[in-house]
Amino acid sequence: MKAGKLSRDGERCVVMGIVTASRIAMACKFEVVALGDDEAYLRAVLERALEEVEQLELQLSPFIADSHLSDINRHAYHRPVKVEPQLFWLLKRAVKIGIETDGAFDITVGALTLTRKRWGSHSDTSTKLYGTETEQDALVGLNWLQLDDDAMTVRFLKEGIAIDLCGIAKGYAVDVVASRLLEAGVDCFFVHGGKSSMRAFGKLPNENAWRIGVTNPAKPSERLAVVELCDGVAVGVSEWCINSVSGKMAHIVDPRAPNRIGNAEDAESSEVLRAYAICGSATDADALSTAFLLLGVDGVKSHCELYESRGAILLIRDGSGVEVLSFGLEGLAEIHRLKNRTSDTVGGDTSS
Amino acid sequence: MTRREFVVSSVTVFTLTSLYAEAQEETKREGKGERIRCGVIGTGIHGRTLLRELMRMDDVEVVALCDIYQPNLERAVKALGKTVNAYSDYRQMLEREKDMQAVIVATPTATHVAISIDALQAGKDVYCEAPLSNEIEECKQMAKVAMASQKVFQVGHQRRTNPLYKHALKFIRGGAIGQPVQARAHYHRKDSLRRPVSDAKYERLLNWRLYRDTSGGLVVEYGSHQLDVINWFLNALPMAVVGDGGIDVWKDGREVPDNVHVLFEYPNGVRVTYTATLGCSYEQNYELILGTMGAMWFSKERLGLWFKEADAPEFGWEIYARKEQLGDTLGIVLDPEASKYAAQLEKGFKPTEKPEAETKNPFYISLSEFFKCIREGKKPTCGVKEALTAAVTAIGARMAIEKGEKITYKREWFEV
Repeated sequence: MKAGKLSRDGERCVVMGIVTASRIAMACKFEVVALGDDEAYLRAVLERALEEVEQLELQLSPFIADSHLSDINRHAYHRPVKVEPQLFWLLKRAVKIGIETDGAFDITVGALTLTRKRWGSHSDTSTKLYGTETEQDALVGLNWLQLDDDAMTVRFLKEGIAIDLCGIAKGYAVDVVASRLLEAGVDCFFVHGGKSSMRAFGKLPNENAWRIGVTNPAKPSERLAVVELCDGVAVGVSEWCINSVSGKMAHIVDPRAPNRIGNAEDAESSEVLRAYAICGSATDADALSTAFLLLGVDGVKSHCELYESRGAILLIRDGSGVEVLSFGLEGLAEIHRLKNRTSDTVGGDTSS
Repeated sequence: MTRREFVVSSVTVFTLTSLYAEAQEETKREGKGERIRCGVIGTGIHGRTLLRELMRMDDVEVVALCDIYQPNLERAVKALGKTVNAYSDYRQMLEREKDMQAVIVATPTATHVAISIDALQAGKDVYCEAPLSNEIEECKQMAKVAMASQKVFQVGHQRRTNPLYKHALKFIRGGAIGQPVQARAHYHRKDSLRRPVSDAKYERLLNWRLYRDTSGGLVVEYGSHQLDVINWFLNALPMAVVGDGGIDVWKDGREVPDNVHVLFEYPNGVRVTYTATLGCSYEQNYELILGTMGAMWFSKERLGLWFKEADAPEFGWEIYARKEQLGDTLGIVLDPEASKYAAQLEKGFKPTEKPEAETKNPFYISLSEFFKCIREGKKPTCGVKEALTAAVTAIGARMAIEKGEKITYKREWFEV
């Protein structure tokens, strides 16, 4: 435990310290940094919370043959598939975000994505689908998905539909970790999954808030801004990802124009280079960040005006440089744009 | 959601109104199949994992939950999301739940036998998590009661019901790896295994895996599952074992080693190695069986590879088989559904559709077999005899570690 500050806990003077724990799950590193006065207790809380992330991967991965999601994808056209309540809640939440973003986030992109990408190193691709790319493009749309609240079942109304939760699962896992830590009485921590989904509670000694760095997508060592997060706030980050070998987009599919998948020119012509969604739930933030990347500046601005509890930071093209725009951050976060952009950021998109 | 709302929402009362109870009742009325009413005793992390699978089953209804640790019970009730009877005393649960046909026992190992015997004697079918017990005599006592009972008693050595292992066994029995010479199993994880305890009075209750009077240590808790596979595949029981271990990584007051290795002697000169550590996750967990004609490797209950010696016989279908590289060796992927796919292809199914393939996860499959045995009056694949041999094998290893001397297995330890 690193040295922290002294704080008064009743009559006892305790040494606060920082404990970090991490696990590889969902093909990325989940990491928690937490502050507390009992290292063994804190470490146990963190380990058990991260263990749940491993279990969530086994449940939510479309690339594990016996995951609950693979089971849905394999059978939901043939019969309603019963799912457990937490997963049913997640599916409902994903559909809600899909509706609120006019389809810019859509979990039924699975018909396209699952045939064309791999989640990390999982090689067991049980959910391989059939058909040409054109046939698969017609398989995207929430209207093909039937969620029965009473029976708690999922059904696909068209053959070939598949769900991909990769755009929301990491955020959900971050929320689960946060929930476990709060239940255990840990109220000062920062958790992230692959640096693309994160959530912060409390603040470190002598700090105003947990901070994340906003870096230039083209120059990761250049920090453009620093964002201070309010208590309990979550951030989701999405950006275009070009496969350096194939030159094709490997990460984001626009469900409203599915034929665009694989066209690297789309990424190059996109107005928004990277989108940060900021709100009170990492589940929502993860999904919203994908949508924000696709909605464009005007679309994101309108969305944040309509949903007051949601904010956004967009990195957009500005000639040969990058401009930082922000919307609706009041009560969620405070952004500090940096004039001197040469920074000490150590790798990654964000830093805390 | 504010932090306050977050915390409040995590504290659940026991009478959550069900969105689904009505639908379930309707299904019953419509005669869509009589559901087996089931209870879960022990709702810690593992109990909730099993609960998650039970909730996916159309023909099972969870009617009661029990745990003496209130927060775990509350989490399970919340996860279930429906009205359920919650108990802190399993005896009360067995007494009151007259219509409950089956129970899942996912409590600390030291309590498995007492609870399972009480449940059987209360007329319930029992699915008990493995290992059976930390003590040989208790295992034998359990075996006597279970064998005398007319109820189903299944133990959660889920590799026994896993199609991957059953598929591999056919090859092994058919001589695919030749004469077995060695076997290995690993459980490697970087994790203290410690549960967070906010009140010291719960330390030994929640962290039972760390203390000698409630835990057999890594070799019993985790090794028993993997050693069961070795016994099963070799079709043999160990003759002797040596081993050692220490508290080398987590010096936090625990009493059982966190770093162990064990060597077994089996009949016909077969040597078996088992290692477990909580200090490093490299290779995680796997089982490996080596023979004169090849080897089979099973990783995390999901992937099986068959490596062949150059002089092993070749089969025509091998050229079509999926292969994967492990290190510098190419292995044939053991796919229990391969034959099924081929048959379906002939019937005109699309190759990726897999409409008849049921690749549920190992927990689901194991629990499904339990309920199938109840419905059909059959004996489970992993009954008390198999669990007895697995537990005794692991307990012998624990004794070798504790005493620091070679332990020779007595035949009567394995007999009822």
